[in-house]
Amino acid sequence: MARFLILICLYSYHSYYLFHQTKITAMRTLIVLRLLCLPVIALFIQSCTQLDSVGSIDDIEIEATYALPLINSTTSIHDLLETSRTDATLLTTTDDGTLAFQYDASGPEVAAADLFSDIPDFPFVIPAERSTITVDIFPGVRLEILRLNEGTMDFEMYSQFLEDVDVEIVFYQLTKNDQPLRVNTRIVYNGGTRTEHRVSGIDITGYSLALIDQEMSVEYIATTVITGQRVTLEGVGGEGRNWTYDYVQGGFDRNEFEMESDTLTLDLFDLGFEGSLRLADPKLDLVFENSFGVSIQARIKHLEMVNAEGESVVLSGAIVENGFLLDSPALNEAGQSKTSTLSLNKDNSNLVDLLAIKPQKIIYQLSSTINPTNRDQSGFITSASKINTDIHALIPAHGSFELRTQQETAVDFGQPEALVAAEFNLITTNEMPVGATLQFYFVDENNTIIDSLFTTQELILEAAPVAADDFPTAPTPLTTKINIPSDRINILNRSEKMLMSLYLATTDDGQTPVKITSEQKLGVKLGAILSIEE
Amino acid sequence: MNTIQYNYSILFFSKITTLLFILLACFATPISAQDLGLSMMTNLHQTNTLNPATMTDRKFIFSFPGVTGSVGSSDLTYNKLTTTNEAGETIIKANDLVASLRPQNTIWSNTSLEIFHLSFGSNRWQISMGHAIKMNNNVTIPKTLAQLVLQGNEQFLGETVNIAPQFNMTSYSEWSIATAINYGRLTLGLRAKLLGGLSNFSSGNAVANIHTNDQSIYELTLASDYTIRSAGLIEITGLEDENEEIELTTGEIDLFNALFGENKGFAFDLGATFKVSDKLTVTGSIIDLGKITWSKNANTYTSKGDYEYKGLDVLDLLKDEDTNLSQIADTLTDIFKFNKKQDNYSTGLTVRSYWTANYQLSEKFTVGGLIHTRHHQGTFDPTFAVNGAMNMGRWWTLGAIVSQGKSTGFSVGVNTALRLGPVQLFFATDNLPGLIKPLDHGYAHGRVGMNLAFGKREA
Repeated sequence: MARFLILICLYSYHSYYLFHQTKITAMRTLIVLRLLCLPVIALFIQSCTQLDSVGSIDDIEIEATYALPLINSTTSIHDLLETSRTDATLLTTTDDGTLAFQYDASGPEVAAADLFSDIPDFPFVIPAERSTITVDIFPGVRLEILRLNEGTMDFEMYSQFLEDVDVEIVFYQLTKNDQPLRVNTRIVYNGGTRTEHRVSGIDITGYSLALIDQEMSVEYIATTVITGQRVTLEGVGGEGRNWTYDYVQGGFDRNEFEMESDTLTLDLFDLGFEGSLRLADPKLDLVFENSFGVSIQARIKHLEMVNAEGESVVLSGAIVENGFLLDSPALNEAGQSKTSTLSLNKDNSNLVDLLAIKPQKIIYQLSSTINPTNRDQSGFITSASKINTDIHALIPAHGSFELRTQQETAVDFGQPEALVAAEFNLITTNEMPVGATLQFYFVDENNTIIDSLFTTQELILEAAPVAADDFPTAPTPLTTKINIPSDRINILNRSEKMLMSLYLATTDDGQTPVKITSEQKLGVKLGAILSIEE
Repeated sequence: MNTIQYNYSILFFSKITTLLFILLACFATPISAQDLGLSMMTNLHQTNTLNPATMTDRKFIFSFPGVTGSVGSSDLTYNKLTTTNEAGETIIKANDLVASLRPQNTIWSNTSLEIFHLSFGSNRWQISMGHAIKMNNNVTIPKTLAQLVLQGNEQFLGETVNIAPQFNMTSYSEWSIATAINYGRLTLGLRAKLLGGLSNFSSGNAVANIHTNDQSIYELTLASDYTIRSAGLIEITGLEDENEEIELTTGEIDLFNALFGENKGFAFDLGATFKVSDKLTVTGSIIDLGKITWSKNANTYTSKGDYEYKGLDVLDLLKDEDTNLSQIADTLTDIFKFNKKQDNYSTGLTVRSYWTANYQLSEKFTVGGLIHTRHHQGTFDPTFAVNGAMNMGRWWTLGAIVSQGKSTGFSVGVNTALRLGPVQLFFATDNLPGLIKPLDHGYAHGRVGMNLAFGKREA
């Protein structure tokens, strides 16, 4: 700058000197012009100097407050359940639209072979040419008709005659296609005093045996070959071997048998909540499919529900003592099955008390009695007869509860230095008759609670009121303001864990039974006003 | 060396240095914008470009080629926008920046490459012709945009604000021919201008409304009705495709099209002067009445739509693991998605008017007043000025002008003209402090020029 001023002074003096040295007007004019250039030069030098000082912008200091919507969700129970994982095989609704959880499982099965094993081999004697044989091959069954699936007969006979003898044995009541079983054979004289003759493996597959008073008639006709004279043999006998039945009809004696124990798992209450729950109208159905053609009474020998803590409650009530008579097919309905349902509810059992413990599983065992009244009547079984048992638990979302839980989670708010304050505006619109209060505790690395979101447990969801039918009447809006000024922001930044305390209760703090439908909606809107400085 | 030789050497040296400086000054970047002071320099031929009825005291005038430009802002200055912190860094304090803004803030620049200007005539008439290539740019940024970005939208809860900027960048070639005819006290003038548009990048509809709901959770409602146009050498790509980056490119042009342009337009200037008395003269002119029709490479990009952002649906996030927050940005870009249409369009020039009154107080001293207006795209920008000029003999006039304008604020300018035989030299600035300290002023203007003028015109 000093050099510049010196140059200006020299330039001005030189111009002044020249002006006084010359008398030519034109020259003086040019010299004046030269002098006038000085201010112009000065202008540009001054402005260029100032422009030289223009540099890049190093930083921008901002103090801003932004209002933004963060969350805007409307959901229904149906949507929430779709996104959750449940073992419930069916989400359904009851007749009045109440949401219901249905759990299904296949129970134990009892087959005919479990009750009546295959027919043992049985020998018999034909003492005279015409005799009756007692057939008693099923213990506890007064046999009337036996249709054989397969089997054979063997015969043994002795002849005292000194010549060949033709023998025909006829079983008048063992028929196939209405024709009695006839066995023809010849005893060939062996030159001795007594000839023994065997006939083996007579196939009686497909034969039916119709007994009268559990007896069948048998006749043998023995004739000598040479003379054709009818004779009486020394002895005739036989044995039924490897008989299997296809159909058995007769009178069945009273007989009790047990089914295997089974377990049904419920995940409905596996939510990590403590507290009380009272369901208003749960149901437990046992469905029997019976193809035995005899009168059978089923009983719940044992049923208990067990929760996660190991606490259990045993089923009791009239239904347990009295049992339940199963429907069975009639004599002309062989091959068909009948379905019967044994329903447990709040009126015939203590089912409500069982579910109040929030069980995780149902352990049950059934027993059945054939001909429970020991009546003298005919029934039947087939080789395919069985009793199938299915269990269906239907739990309508109708009742009252107050539940609480605490969840801990690690947090890292990322220490956003620019964020200096925040205010949140939470608006909930609740069509469900369930309310919620919430609190967050912020914990530092020493497990010390350094702050909480609210002063006390804050109501963030107002339960909708219910009418006399337990359905909610109108949605309930609630606005909650959450203010986090700058000093609390710093505290939150130091937290390493967050402890959430959540309390859920039905209307009137869990005292009023309510009905929850799948279409009841919950709206949650969250906006924030964020103040930043950077 | 005798005195005469010495004087001539001085003369030669002075001529060379003076001429070099003047030529340098001509080709430097002095700036001209409203030319308020120039409009009051009635004996300077350049006033004819502002009023075609102006006839100077010379019958033949030739103006040398020159470049002029101007830049200004709505009272925004570099030193007003920036400050220095304790560490010596140059910073911008956002709150101070916003406080200094007006409701609408315009940054403008005008550049004119004047190829030649020629004027000839008699005592009663004058014909002028010339050619120039002009580039006019302006960007208007609403204060609400800066407030929204730098201070947040919490201040606008419950309000709807328009944050759409407007801009117009036009370059064109201008061939002009003018005539002025004197009828005693009255002189009328008309200039016809053939315009050749070179490039245009401008906004049409400029609506980008943002509303923040104060009754709920601050839901944002965005509505756009925004048009961008481009034509000629400028091409913009990527506006209509969200997957493509926005890019502005310029094409090439041959000499013929550079001189005459590929997009035709027409404008005219009207002017009149009236000698009320020997001492009082009033003038009025309206210039740049015209438009350019853009047809070469003309595209219109339109964004029109409404969108309400209510927040994230958390349930969707739970259902769809692929949902991510970038969908918010995608959704926001959808509203500003532009649809491209190849279509001709027209843009008007900025119409200016000059209304002056000059009163000769004495032989040496003249005073005057000026009303200047600019009208463009619905904006009206008036300026009022008073001027005083003193004749320092026959060859030197010195003047000063004080003005108050809507976009220029309060300014103090000076102007001077030298007549050295046939050579006319002049310098004018409407805002002298802006030249000296450009960083402290939002408006700077200056003009230097040289003419050759022959043939005295009798009054």
